[in-house]
Amino acid sequence: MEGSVMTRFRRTASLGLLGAITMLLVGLLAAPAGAVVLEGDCTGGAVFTNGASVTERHPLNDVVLVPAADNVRYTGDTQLSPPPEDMPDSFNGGVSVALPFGSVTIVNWDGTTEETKASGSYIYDVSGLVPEGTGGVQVTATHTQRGKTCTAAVTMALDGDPGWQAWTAAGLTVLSGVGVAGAGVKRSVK
Amino acid sequence: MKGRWFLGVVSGFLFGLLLGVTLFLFGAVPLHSQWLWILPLVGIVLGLAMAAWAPFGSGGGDAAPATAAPTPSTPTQTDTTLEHDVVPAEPTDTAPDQPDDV
Repeated sequence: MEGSVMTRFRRTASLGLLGAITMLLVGLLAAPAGAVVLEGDCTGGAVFTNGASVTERHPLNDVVLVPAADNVRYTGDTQLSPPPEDMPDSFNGGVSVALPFGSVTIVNWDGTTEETKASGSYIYDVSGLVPEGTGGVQVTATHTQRGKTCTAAVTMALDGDPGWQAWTAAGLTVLSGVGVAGAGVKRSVK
Repeated sequence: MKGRWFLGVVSGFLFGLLLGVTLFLFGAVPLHSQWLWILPLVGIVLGLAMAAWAPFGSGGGDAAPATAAPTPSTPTQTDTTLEHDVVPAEPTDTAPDQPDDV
């Protein structure tokens, strides 16, 4: 049960963190707003109001701190020529979050479109339950359109100080540490 | 294993797991860090080590009655002392007998 709660929590957090990039990919069918491009020649970028910005050349080891709520401006280009008017491209893709073992997919998409690039702004507001000030969350997005695949990754986290979640975890850590110490108590002879 | 090995395994695992989560939530390690699975294993080892070491609780008092036994001051008191303190294994023999008598 704890595992399912944690999985749901991760998904919620990741969804919130990825709002801008996901919208760029899902709604506007273009490249990620900013990340290291692992496959393909897509380009893109995103600028947040706190001054943070990312592009497709942003290094993975640099954590992008994004606000919990913002109006982010983005651009993205799949570097494909526009399709004929009556022949929209089919596309599919998804977003996954890297874990110590493998990754978990949090978003999938597919459909048809005549767009190959997009830009604009996107307003998002992450739930207060999502912890701020955490370590980086490495997110990988893949988009395939007209047989061309673009894969990009970015490491991001919510800007802010650690909240009650961190202190709760710290308290539980201390409690379990007491349990470890308790294991060192000699068993009484019966 | 002098201590509580099962408690050591369970609490050690939770300790390592929660320590990793805490480190992530405080921004010390990324979510994909290998520490997040290494720490629970280290915790289990730590718990087992604590159970094997068992540094807490009574157990250091065995030597004192053993040295005191050869020089008893009163015969009656000496017998009582020997019964309960000098040989820790003896109560094991007497304890199961009590339910049988009942």
